[in-house]
Amino acid sequence: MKWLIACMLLLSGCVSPRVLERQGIITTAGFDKKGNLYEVGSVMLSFQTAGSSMSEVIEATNKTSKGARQDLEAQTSHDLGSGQIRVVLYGKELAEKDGIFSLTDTLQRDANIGSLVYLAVAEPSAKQVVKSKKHEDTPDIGTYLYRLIEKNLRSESLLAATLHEFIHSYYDVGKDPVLPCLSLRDDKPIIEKVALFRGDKFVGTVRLDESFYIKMLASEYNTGLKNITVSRDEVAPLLIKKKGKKVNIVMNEIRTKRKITFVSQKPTPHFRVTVKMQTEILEMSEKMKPIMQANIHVLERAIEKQMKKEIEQLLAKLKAYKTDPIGFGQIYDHSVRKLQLTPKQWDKLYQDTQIDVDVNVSILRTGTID
Amino acid sequence: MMKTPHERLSINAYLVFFLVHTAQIGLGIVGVQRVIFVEARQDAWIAVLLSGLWIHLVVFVIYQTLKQTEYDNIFSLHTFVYGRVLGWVVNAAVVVYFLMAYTSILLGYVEMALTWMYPDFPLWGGTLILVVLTVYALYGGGFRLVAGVSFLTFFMTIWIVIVVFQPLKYAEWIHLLPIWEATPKQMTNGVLKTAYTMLGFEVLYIVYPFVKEKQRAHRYAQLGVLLTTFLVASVTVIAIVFFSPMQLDVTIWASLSMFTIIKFPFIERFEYVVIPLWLLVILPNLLMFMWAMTRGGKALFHVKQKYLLFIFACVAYALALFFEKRATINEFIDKVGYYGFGFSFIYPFFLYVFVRMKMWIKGSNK
Repeated sequence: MKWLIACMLLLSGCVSPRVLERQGIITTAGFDKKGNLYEVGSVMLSFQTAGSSMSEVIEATNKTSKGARQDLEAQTSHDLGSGQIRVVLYGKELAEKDGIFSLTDTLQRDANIGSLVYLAVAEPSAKQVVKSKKHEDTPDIGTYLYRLIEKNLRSESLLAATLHEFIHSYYDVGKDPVLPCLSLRDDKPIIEKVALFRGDKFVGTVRLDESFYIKMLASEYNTGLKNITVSRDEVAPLLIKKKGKKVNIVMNEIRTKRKITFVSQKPTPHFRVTVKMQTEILEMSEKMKPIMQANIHVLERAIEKQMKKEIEQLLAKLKAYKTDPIGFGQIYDHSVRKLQLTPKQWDKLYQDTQIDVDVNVSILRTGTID
Repeated sequence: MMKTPHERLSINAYLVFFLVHTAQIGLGIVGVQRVIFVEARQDAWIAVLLSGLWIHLVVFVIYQTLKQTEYDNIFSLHTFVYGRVLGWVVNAAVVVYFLMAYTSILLGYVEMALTWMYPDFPLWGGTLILVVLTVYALYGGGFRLVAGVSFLTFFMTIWIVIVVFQPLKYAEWIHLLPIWEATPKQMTNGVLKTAYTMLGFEVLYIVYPFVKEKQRAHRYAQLGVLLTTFLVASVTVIAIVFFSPMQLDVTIWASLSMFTIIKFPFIERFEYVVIPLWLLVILPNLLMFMWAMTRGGKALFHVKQKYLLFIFACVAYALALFFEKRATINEFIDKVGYYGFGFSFIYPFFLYVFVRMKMWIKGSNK
């Protein structure tokens, strides 16, 4: 039996080794389109034997993304590895005109790349974002972008953006993907907006405070801040001064539960959205009377009314963009028996869909003072 | 009629649980979700449960068949029922089926490992390693080793189940609705497609004479099937809620793709742990089917199992060399599933009837 063991040992030596110092690890890649060609900019991180690491941006142009990858190989003495890729950026123009599905598809197909890669749209172009030199204390821009997105995803109003979730929403009939939209301020990449998609094509953006509602309606939402502006009349019983501008209220530690029920199919799809929200008050733009059991409902109702209005505005905006990131179509598809909804059918139905919004706010605490 | 195997070779009844379960779980469960989903859509998990119920019934029938004589395996039963010539032909067909099943596991596993981990490694090399491993194990160990391997690998791999539920954090439960939308035809096709994944319980036909406490073997076999059904149904439900329908339609190894979102602080890409570990899951399959083949070969040619081991290993390896493309491998696996369905899901009922008839005729002749 010795020869058998020897044979197994020899065969397992056939797999090629990878030496860390010779690897160039790609942490982020940005795609733009120029004419027929993809312009790819990648950040390559390499390790020296001395222990330090260095990053470098390399660029290439080719007809396919993997072809560009080959051109990248020609520009470096390291073996490029994409197993550690963290963020993939798509230029706004590319996302708007050509759509990005074919590019995400190849990421999914490649077993080297995990499903938790973050995708994002870059403004004005992916190249400029990748080339930015301002990445705080992180070793390279890729790691910076990764942490930026991760943090905002966890604690703020940013919407989910991994490769898995993008592909999932893309394939789901009646649900459209959303991605973070990175832009540059003083050459530093920041997140200001959220990019809306129809299928795989970029159609527009919403501000982060609007995306708060999308996040709230699309999933359960925990933590994070929300600023809301209510008119004076609404909270009149609470105010000490009788005149002035609108009142700003900042809420913290928000926990929401949402429920979307499908009310009826005909004549047009009709949904009822119920949001239950628990929160605490962190800041008010004006001095108020102490908030007690007796008058807390005034504040709650005022917030509810304003939120309802804002949600309705947002839904109208989404309809105008013909995009459905919340997934009403998905609920429609799965609630009606014997129905194979096609994206085209839903596009038509979506415009006439009636959505009732019902918000229920309860203020649990008001900080350390009443 | 055969003699009962030597005491030294027989096993405890509880090992039947591990033998049946590990023979069932193997390559199929890695990608079964898409195959059923394409047929039965969101009701795929119901198809799995139905198929599980059916198997419980089949195992019962197999047990009833074997109980008639206690000492027979499927090959001696065939000779008994069909006579010398026809029996030989049927036995040969069974051996060919085992050979195909064995080869399909070889190909399927190596193909998966190459796609995910070693794209520059040749297919022939991968299959060679597995064939050599089978020969090495069976040459020294025989049946008791097969039982030991299933026992050990079961405990070495069952913990993966805990991790399987992690993708549920991305779950969209609405994908399961509406329930029971599949037409009876879709459902039947769905059940048919589960066959390849659920196959393996037919080894009971060959294992049974080796069990010490025969009356308790039945209970353990049923338990093994129950666990398999539960696991396959679970991964099916998880895949349906994790992927969107059209995404699942194109995902070849849904279970593995789900593992790509599992992340631990100390290991970032969990699938790279699972794929090598999966060798332990398919190892009992490989050993079981190869051993079953040599058992059959012994009945056919009256040659020592040791020599047959080498012959069958070479034949299986040669067969595996024919395949290169995924499309043809898929087609081959489909075919194995199809034959397996006939042999393991349907045929046991007929065999039972034949055995009873034959015994009745024999009894009345006396």
